[in-house]
Amino acid sequence: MIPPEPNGQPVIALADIHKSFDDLHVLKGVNLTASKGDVVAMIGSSGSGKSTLLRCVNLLEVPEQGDIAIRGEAIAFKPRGQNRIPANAAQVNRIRANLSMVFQQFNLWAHLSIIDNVMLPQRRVLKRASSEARQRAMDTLRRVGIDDKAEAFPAQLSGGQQQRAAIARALAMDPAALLFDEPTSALDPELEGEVLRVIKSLADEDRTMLLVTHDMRFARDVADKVVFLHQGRIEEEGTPAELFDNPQSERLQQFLSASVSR
Amino acid sequence: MFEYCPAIAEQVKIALGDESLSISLQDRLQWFSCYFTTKKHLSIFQAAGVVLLILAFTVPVSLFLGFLGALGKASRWPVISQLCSLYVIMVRGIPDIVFFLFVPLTIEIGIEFFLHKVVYCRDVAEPFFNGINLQPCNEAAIIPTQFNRIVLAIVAYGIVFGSFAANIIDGALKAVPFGQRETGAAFGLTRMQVFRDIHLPQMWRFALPGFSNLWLILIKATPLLFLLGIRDIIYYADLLGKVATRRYSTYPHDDWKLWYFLALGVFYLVLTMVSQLVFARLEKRFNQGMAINNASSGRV
Repeated sequence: MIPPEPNGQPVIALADIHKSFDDLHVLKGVNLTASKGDVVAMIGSSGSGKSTLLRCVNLLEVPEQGDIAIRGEAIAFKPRGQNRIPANAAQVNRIRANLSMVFQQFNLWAHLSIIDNVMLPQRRVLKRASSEARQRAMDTLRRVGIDDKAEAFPAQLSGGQQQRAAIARALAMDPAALLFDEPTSALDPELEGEVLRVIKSLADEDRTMLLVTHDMRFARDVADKVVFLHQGRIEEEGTPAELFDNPQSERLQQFLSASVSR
Repeated sequence: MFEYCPAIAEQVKIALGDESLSISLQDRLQWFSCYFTTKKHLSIFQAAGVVLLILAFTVPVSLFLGFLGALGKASRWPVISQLCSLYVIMVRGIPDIVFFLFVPLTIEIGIEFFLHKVVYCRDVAEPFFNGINLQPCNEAAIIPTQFNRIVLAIVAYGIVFGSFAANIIDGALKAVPFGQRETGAAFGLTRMQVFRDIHLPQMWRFALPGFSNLWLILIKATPLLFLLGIRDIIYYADLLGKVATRRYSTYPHDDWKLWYFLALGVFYLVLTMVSQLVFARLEKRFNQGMAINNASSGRV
């Protein structure tokens, strides 16, 4: 189900990524790689640029400087005004089809039932036949434990169920990597657990995942590698044990103690 | 219309002139069946049909122009976006009636000018505009047949209401939460697919209240058809309601204008009430899955 990687290239490779919003320099030269099966957690305080970095991976944000390669394929850019944009929309769509994203606000399409939500990108992007897409949708919905809600509309579901449906939608694309943008931040504490369990089970089956999270315990639990961002730079990175048990930088020490006391 | 008509018409006519004779209910009903089916009277039904026809054709035309205007406004090319912005905002400032007089006239002159200059009369020496009058040559002059006028009416209404529709569509497209579209893009859907599968279906519920309003305005604007020289139902109600004397008409009656205009009122009322029902259904259809205070999907 998980596509093999050509010639051992990392699934995601970012080099020297810079991104500004008007005068605000959010990312100031970030490098990040995730090889097949890696679960990389990005932590950092609000405004550290971790979500922006994640959104640069599938080009929801276009970095004005730096290189992005997905499974060895470098994204081509062309200049536009002061800035640059991806040169080839088809390439971007092809790459996005391989990087399914799970959003903080779930972003299920409100006008479609859950099953239609899971089927739509399969049908349109992967050009799967309706029966195949339905089959795959039911499989993934069963996987996240809400196959009984297939015909419901998003608004009829709890936040936790909606987020699980969003995960099913991402899984059904059989992507090379999953991108999670604070998947539990919009959830009530009692609903977080069900979503975290699903993500954990995915991490355990050797999927490549990039995860932005506020939940330190969870980051420690699922990640192979943790990246700490501070003011647009990677301040520290390493295994969860290295970062959480033995933080080197003062910033990270401050950040962790603040997180714990919260 | 019916075989018994000449006889019953004659009978009632005599009875009206002779107070000693009374008219039975059955005769009265028969008389009405004849009265309503005279050639002259059928034209008011035909005119009602014309109103419905114009409404039916105006809707797709103005929807089309509305989408063109609203989407063109967001165009990357400044010329197109500025033209479309002008089209979208022009309804805000200019009274409808000015449009109804201006648009058909310009279209008519435009077509005549085109036919005159390009198609038929390139060799004619006389100018199209001689300083006082517009003078299209014979082939280029548009003959104001009822059909031509109806087509012109549909185009005029289409342009005017297309501009209103563009306004509504423009607002509705912007009302769809950005996250809904962005998510489509994030999964690799093309811009066209995002528009067709996500943006457009979610737009309707924001546009529907505006469209419902616009449709009622359109219905109520149909009496302006007389400005375009179309003999509409109001013209005929006025004509048929007039006193018909025994001397000159087969079906004499008093001044029935009151009743005719009352019937017109009922006609419009029924039309608007049926529309309300249809819109209520559409609203239900397009609000499916959308919690009332939950437009952005999942924002609790």
